[in-house]
Amino acid sequence: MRSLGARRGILSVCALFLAVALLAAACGGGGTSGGGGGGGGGGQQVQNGGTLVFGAEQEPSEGLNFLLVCCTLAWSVWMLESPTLYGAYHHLPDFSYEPQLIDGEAKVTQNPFTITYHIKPQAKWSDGQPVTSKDFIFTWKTFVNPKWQMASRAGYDQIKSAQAIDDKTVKFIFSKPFADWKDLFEPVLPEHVLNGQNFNKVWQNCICDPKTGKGIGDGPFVFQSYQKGNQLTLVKNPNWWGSGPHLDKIVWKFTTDTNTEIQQLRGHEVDAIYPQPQLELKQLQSEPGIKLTTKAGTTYEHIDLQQGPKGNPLLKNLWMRQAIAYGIDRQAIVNQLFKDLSPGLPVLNNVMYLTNQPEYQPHFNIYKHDPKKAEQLLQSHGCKKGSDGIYVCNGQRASFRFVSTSGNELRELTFEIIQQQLKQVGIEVKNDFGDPAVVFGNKVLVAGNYDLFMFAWVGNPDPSGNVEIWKCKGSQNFTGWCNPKATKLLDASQSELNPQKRAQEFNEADQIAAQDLPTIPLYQKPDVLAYNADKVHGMTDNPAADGPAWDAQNWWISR
Amino acid sequence: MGTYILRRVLYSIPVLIAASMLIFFFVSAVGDPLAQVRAIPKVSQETIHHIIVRKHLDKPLIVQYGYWVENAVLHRFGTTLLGDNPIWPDLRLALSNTLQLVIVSEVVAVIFAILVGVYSAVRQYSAFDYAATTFSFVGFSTPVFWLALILQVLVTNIFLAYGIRIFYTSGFSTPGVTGLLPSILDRLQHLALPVITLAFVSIAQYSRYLRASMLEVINSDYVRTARAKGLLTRQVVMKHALRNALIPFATVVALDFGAYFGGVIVTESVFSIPGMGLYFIRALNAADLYPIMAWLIVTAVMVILFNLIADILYGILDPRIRYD
Repeated sequence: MRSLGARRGILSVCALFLAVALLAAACGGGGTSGGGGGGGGGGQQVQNGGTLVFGAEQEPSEGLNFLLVCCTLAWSVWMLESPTLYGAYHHLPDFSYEPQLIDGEAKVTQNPFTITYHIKPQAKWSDGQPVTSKDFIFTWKTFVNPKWQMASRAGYDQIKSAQAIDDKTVKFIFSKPFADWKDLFEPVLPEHVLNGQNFNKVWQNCICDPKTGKGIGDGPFVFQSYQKGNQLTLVKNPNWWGSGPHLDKIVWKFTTDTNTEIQQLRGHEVDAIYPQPQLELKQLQSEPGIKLTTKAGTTYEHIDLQQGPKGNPLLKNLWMRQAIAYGIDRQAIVNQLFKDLSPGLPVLNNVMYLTNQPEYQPHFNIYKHDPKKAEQLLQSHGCKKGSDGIYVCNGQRASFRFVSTSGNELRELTFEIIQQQLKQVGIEVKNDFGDPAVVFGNKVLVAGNYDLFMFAWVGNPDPSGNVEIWKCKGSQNFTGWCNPKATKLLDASQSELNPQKRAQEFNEADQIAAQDLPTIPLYQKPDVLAYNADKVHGMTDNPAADGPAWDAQNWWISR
Repeated sequence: MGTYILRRVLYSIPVLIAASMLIFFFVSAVGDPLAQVRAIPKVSQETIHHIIVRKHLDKPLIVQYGYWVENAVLHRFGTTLLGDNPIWPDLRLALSNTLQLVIVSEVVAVIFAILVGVYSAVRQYSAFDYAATTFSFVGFSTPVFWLALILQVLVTNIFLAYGIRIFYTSGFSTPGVTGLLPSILDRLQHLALPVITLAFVSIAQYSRYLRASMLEVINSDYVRTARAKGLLTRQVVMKHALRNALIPFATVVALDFGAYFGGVIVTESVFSIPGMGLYFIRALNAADLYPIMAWLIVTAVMVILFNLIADILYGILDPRIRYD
């Protein structure tokens, strides 16, 4: 036995705790330099300098290299790619493409399919080196190198060879036409910095030259520092070759909670936020000095109707799927969810194109809310209403498992509305929500083990991402829907270089989808951009996937 | 004492192994770790195949568990599923952030709880005692996320009304602050609200424990004897009563301390503090089993360690306690 000291022991323990706490506080990350402006009204004369603090909802904690499969957060693209690494083309807010690093449109030939890029003579990297053909060729080789864990190699894997015609002209020869070619080389990688490096690791904690540790880029800003869990800082590119930028720095401050973001913006701890469209945000609309804008974004919600062996057999019948579609009042859902935050947000009636695009044709608007028609469809196919108000068809109750992701307020509310609406037409849907890792996994979504599944696809201005979702046996076709005619159209669209003909193919496939009804599109989630309008100027959202910092060179602050 | 500690440490090893196996098999059984990757438009199937091979996802679960054990022991928990990033540096950072938050809030909570608990017991049924009891019930029943939000709104409104920034509503530091003293001040301004939030709930709980055990001790024979001997009330309370009353109190605090190192998930989420709680939530959302396992082991070690500390504290507080 051994007894331990008494009071001295207690004091020692307390002193130790306090010392550790203070030491930890003192040694914690310091932050970056640069002065943020205070409030202050804004004249319209552009002012240079200052730091803008932007609240970022997600942190790319797995790594900053947004081209790798680990790190494809939309926020990585918005924070890093848009302002620091330019591409051959980028998306404009109207979903069109604009040449960025190249001088005018690229030259395209059909047979064989080739693309020739003329790089802008003035385009250079932040270390002063020019952007050249070598950078384009290196980018292609990086994408197709099997050692690197690229999120996608689509298009690059169809390039057969490349030819550097001169320093500023490069030609790529493809094995077959690739219609979505404008999304290639977005971004272009710096060959002189990355050649010989391990691309899986080199940009894990910076977008920089690994030899010097200095940020590298060809956009208006370059990476400066990353404090994990806290913030990521960009600084003005000293060798920027375009107009602007006006700011000295942009600090992306990580804030994981929407309510906290709201308070941070109100209290001027951050100058702007770009949050998920949560219902709480409507309070900012009446907040003095704060401007809140919303635009229909590229992420769209929809309900898939399973037609495979693991779904309810009743859903194999078109009339049952139609009854569900007529029974759901999609306009009422959109109004209920977004009437305050984003009034006028349209219902989505196409699964190939978004409402913002000129090619959009509202094929799914044939399913306007019509409870009588829904019931007529059921009755005309021999369904009888049971004592509980739910129809029984061929001896089976019209009762379906409705899967979605738990913990998402908007989806839970949407489900409740749909449940009420369908109950009125004698169809039951039962809540089968689960954790995203479970429901998106190979036991539910991938296995087609659901009846109805509400989730979102992250779209893109180019509709080519929809091909694998809707063609027969497509790698992301989880509904079990297979229409040979639609598949033929979608396959043809992949190599159709005439934009009008291609849009026609996608729209014809969409029309078939609307008739066959493997899915019911609901709405595009609104992009919400809110900022302190007394201080921040020149800021606009780009809903075409490029995010709020797509034109960060035009941002300036009143100081 | 040394033998006792060694024995306790040895006992904890099978507990850790059992816990790690349970978590590994349960989490593996629930979700597809590549679910979110499969949903990326135009995702490279070649990349998915590489991940499966690199992380042995095509092997039976027991074999995968074996690989995990090897990584945990030889390679500091190995690497993450998708990014192949080393787990330990991020986990260590999260642990140090949680450490700052938990130590400060627990020290504040313990100091206030002792003051409130002792005074309530000594002045039982006084106005102060009733007020403290009411406060405790409020503290017990206040949801942490609500209190956090109210505090955030409060400091924001004070800033908007008077232009005074007392505390920050979230994060760990302000961009642009440099120098040791300004950095410390800035860090304290950031830590204040999460510390108040955590301490508020803890004070409510701890003060009730202390009040109850103080009342028990104050009415015991040896305290009456001490009073009869003519000792000052202050001496009787602080030297004779409090020390005995601290034994159950120390247990609760030490166990809480250990549990808090797993992360105070709600507080860290609301205040965007990149600690153990947020680390765990992120790993869970990414269905990345490897950081989850690392988190589990570190948290379990902390709980075991603080259980041991609680036992040692008994000895400090009461020399009659023996370690067999």
